[in-house]
Amino acid sequence: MISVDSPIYGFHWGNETAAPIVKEIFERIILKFDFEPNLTNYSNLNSNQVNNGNLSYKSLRKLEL
Amino acid sequence: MLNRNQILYKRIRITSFIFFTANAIILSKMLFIQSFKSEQLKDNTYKFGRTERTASGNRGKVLDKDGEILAQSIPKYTFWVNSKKHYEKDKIIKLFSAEFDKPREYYLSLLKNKRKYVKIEDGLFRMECANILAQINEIEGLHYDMSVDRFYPHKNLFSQVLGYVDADNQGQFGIEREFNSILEGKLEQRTYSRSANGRIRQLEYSELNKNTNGLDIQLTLDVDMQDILVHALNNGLDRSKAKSASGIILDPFNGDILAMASIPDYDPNNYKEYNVDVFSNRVISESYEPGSTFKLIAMAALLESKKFSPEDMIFCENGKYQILPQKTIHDHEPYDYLSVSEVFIYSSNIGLVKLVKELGDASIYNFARKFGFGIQTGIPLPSESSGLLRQYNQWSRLSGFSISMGQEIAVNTLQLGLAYSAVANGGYLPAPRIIKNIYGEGYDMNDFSPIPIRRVISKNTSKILLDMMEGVVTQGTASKAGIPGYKIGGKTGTAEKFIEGRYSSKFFISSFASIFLLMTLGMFV
Repeated sequence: MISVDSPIYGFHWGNETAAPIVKEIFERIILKFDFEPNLTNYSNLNSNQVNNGNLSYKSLRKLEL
Repeated sequence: MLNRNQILYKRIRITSFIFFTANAIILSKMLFIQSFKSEQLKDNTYKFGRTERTASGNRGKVLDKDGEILAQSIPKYTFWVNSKKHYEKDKIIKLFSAEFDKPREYYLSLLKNKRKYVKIEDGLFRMECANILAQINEIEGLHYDMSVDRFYPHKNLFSQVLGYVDADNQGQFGIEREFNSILEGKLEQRTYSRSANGRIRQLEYSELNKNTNGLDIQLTLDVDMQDILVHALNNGLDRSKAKSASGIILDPFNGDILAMASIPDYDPNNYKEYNVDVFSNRVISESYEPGSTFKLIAMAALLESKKFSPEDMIFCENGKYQILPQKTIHDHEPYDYLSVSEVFIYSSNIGLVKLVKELGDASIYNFARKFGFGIQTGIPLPSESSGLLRQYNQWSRLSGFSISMGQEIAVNTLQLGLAYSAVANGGYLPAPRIIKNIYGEGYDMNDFSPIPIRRVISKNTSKILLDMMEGVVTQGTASKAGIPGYKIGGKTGTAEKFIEGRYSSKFFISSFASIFLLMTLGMFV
């Protein structure tokens, strides 16, 4: 999440100022961690594929109950 | 007339009298002291032979998620001479000149002053003066003092998250302030024996007699991620000539804050050289109108209502629409018909407002509250702004429309990041986590496990929103965030700043919330 306060006029659109910052962050993360390109659709993912955090889906299901 | 023997005898008697009288006086005095003064003198001996000092343990360290040191207390050295006494002037000048690459004349001018304490170099870390310390016993008249100072090896990189420690050893701003009471070493009274000339000899008694060091705090921050974020923010600020820029990288599955920074920043090692404006962590302390990045919340409310599907079409009035008699809104490009998905992808104000009109503004209020807006996130850092979401009974007829477009509401960057995390992780709003662990003797372990606050949207809605966010990058308003071959979703925001009672046409908050899918690391928001 990036926010830029008072960029000069012409650079004031989110796509002109904030989006390139995010792109640079992701490019450097890709280089740093040597990530392969990935075009999987979000909707095709299952919980095991995307969830490597400490918060397991099991615990989330408990919360729902 | 006395003869010689009589004179001698008389002298012996006088001498003996004086001797015995003197002895009698001394013995009487000794008897008096022993009998009546012994307790008082014993106390005096104890008092002048010992001294009490208040000592503090070392301040605890702050570490990143992998244990890399972000802040620690280390000794610093000051070298000095008493130029009123004899000292090896040439030897000292030659040594310091070589070690610190300064001209001999510099040290010569310092030593011209005849004072008891002439400072030659100060504030040196051990590694900077190891060679001098090794030789100090061989140089007559060269002395050093040692003090403990806070050291931030990464300088500016974590400045606003960590804060700094002031001259009174009190944490100011950031982690240093919030956790000052557990980071700082404990104070204790210590009794030392003293030699006849008053110098301290050795420790005789310690009040606590155990480790008095402060606790160590491990954060969820990652040095590499922080470096990437700060580098990109600096570049972005240079390009756009903006006033400031803030950013946060979150793991949406556990709420871990991997990086958090705002620019301009400062070096906490030299905090006195900076204006107070740069000390606060603007990611949490500043709230602003988010603009179109807030459309995610309105879209979540629309989809969760089940009244709308992503394929439903809506007429977007070709770029101009009068909501109320006194209020007309515009799109930045004219559209005729857009699907609900496209309303989000192309960030159509008109399309969204017409959808919200059908839904009802109470739903917008409820979802904004559910996503955690208008209240602090509870992150354990000082000066968090709660943002602003007015109570529903204080809303005007326009409020529901304005808030759907990210106006009439104020958020901080962390709140928005957490809301996008909920969409990324399948629908749960996570609590932000910045403390991974706290270590130290005598500390009862707290549980710092990640906590989901509540489910805010269904898994199906989160999938639809993720696909819409991908569309924003591939076909919509965030084309400059795309990286060929990689799945990136996001939403741009361009909000006019509210200055002196009206929206400015010159000053804006430009923002971008993004989700980056990485199979091996999860996703980053």
